[in-house]
Amino acid sequence: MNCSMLYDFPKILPIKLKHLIKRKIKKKESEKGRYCFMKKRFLALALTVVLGITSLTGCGAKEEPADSSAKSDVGTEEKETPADTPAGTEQTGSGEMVTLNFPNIWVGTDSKAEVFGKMITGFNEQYKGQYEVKVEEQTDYDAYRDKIRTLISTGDAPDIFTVDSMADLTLFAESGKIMDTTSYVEGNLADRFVESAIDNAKIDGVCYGVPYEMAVVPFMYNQKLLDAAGITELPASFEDFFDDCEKLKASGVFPTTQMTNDNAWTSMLWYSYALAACGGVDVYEKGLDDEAFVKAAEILKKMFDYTSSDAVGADASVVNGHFFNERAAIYTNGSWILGRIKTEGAEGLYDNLSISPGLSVDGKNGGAYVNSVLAYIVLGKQDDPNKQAAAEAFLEYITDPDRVLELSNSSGAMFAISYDASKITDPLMSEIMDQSKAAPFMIPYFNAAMPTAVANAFPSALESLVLGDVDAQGFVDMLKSAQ
Amino acid sequence: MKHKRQNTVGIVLFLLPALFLFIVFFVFPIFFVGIMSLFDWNGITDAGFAGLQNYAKIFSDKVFWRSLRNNVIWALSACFIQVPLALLMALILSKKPKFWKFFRTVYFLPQVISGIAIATLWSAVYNSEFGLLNGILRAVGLGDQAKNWLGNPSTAFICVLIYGLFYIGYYMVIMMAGITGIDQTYYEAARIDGANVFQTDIHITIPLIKYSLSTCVTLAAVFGLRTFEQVYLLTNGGPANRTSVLVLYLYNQMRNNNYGGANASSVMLILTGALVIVCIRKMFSSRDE
Repeated sequence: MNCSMLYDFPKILPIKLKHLIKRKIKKKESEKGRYCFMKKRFLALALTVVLGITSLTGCGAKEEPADSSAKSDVGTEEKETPADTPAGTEQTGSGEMVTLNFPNIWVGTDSKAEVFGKMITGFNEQYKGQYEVKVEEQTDYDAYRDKIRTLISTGDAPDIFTVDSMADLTLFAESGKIMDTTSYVEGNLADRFVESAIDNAKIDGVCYGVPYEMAVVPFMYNQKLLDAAGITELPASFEDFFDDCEKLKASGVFPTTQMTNDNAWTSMLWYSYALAACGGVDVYEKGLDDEAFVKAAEILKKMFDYTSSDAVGADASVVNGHFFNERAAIYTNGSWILGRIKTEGAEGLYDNLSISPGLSVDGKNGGAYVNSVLAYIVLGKQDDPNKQAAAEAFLEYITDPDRVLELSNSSGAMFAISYDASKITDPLMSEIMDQSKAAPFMIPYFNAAMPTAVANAFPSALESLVLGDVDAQGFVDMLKSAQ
Repeated sequence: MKHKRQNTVGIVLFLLPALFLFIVFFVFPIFFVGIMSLFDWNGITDAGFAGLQNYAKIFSDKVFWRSLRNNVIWALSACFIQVPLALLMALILSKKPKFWKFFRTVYFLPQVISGIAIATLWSAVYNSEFGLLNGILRAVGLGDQAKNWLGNPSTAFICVLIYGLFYIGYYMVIMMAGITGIDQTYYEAARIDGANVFQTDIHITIPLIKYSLSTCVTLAAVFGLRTFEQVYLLTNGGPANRTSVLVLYLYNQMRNNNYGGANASSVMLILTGALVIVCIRKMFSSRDE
């Protein structure tokens, strides 16, 4: 680089200013010599940078309203500094428009996407000019969890989001960055929730997450394949279940569906049912040292003798593919999958489905249901009362029983909201609800009841179990070591 | 003297923005990772000083050592299989045989196609129920050899490695660029002396693209050490962590809200990478002398 390059550098300056600087630089150059000249050129360069930054800052600055009187008519106190104005609050001519951001997982191919999308549109129309919910579409559950954790750790919790485990909810509550919603759910909205849903969602007596979607998990059988295998009655015990698996295997189909990739969802649900049968209602309270966890692991391992050869390493798409295309006869998943079975399943599959609750072991603990909160609606902590009011209005809107009924009917999902069960149009969903109500006890699924690290260790521990690296006790030991 | 001083000021001025960005986006994060590896931190609440406990935990974890071993194997296979394959292709295609442009594009294609698309393709190839590989085996009467390639501990890692080896296009293009820059008079002289194609490749081409080759080896080693995408998409580290690699290991630590452990793993990854780079540089610089 030579001196002339430096001399030409401030080309972005206005021509007059550039000439002025050049003239002055030349004058000074002759007076004080080249060393001084360099200093001035540096000054010119610095001036260029400062001017550039100033102009960029000008571009990024918010436009001040032409009429300073066009300020909020909500509330009576005038705030002095615009810095106090929360992000997402925009000034309008008629009042203060409050915008809530909502990274939402119920989009795309999710069975709730259509009706939940309509609910958000309806909310925005009802509160037009006052409140607005802006959805940020997220289609990947793992990425969604990572995003929420990152946002909370950086102190930038979204205004509205969903959490699918009590472990995460507890962690977020400890951060102090999510809103206490106890006053909402125990106030105006108290009658809307199913019995004990709020109590079960509390952490030290405080409700940080509003229980919304429920995972109600039945056994699903392809009756056509069962008939073809000569099975006339649904099994009531795991002993009968494995007898039926033999018959199904002989008939040339995969008796069960299993997976070990991602969070091993389907196999984790099978394990939860095995735990209900082996350990009863308080199996999780007894902890991982209880023998039930080992016995349930033995049942789960045996199930892998009756599944597809691609089960180890399979993800949900593989499992669904086998059941939806009638290659597998027995399946378990939340009731929300009914919507997808209707639209994506083989012709007639939905009509051939039979539903049952959990099975017994040694004649004990049969008829249980795996049932837990799948999504808590969580609100980021707000300093602005207008945003709090907007969030409360949104909660009120989406927990409206009629709207939730429509959402449930369209998607097959179930909710922690009390709505008229007689209005459920889908006979299978009605049956699931009836069986669930009649169940002698319910337990949450394994991942919902365990710390995040244990839930994350489940897939690799299961693979070790199935591949024979460890026995059932070793499987449980692997889970314990992750605690 | 003054002129030299002016030049120095100019150089410093031009370097400052890059230096600033380098410090903000590389030096500071590495420093931060190093510091945070000494803390017990779940990423949400306040961190507590833990000393070297995070290192002790990962060193006592079999999965960490398996991941490190897999990374080393990955890097070595990239250096000793992927790069030589790329060199071979570069040597052949630089002679401009028929359809050389077509083949150059074909070999480079994996670099420009989304990793997810390729992983889905390979999953379909390896699937035990409807996969292409088992289909071929059954068609040629080797049905008893059909297996769950990605779910079998003895084949999973090799299958993932093979998938990775198809990414030779990047190195091939670098070496082809090197070959193009070689003065043709060397080849003319060799031909006059009676050298055949193989001899000119061995004695002229390869020595003269030594720097391209060292760049490719360095990149292959670095890419091998930071492998994540292929493993995550194809096996997610399974079966039973047999295909796990260090970046996936630290990603799983983060998923468990164990950011201290993740940072300690990152430090180990950085140190391993630095060690490998030093070794490669030493190897090539000693040959210079």
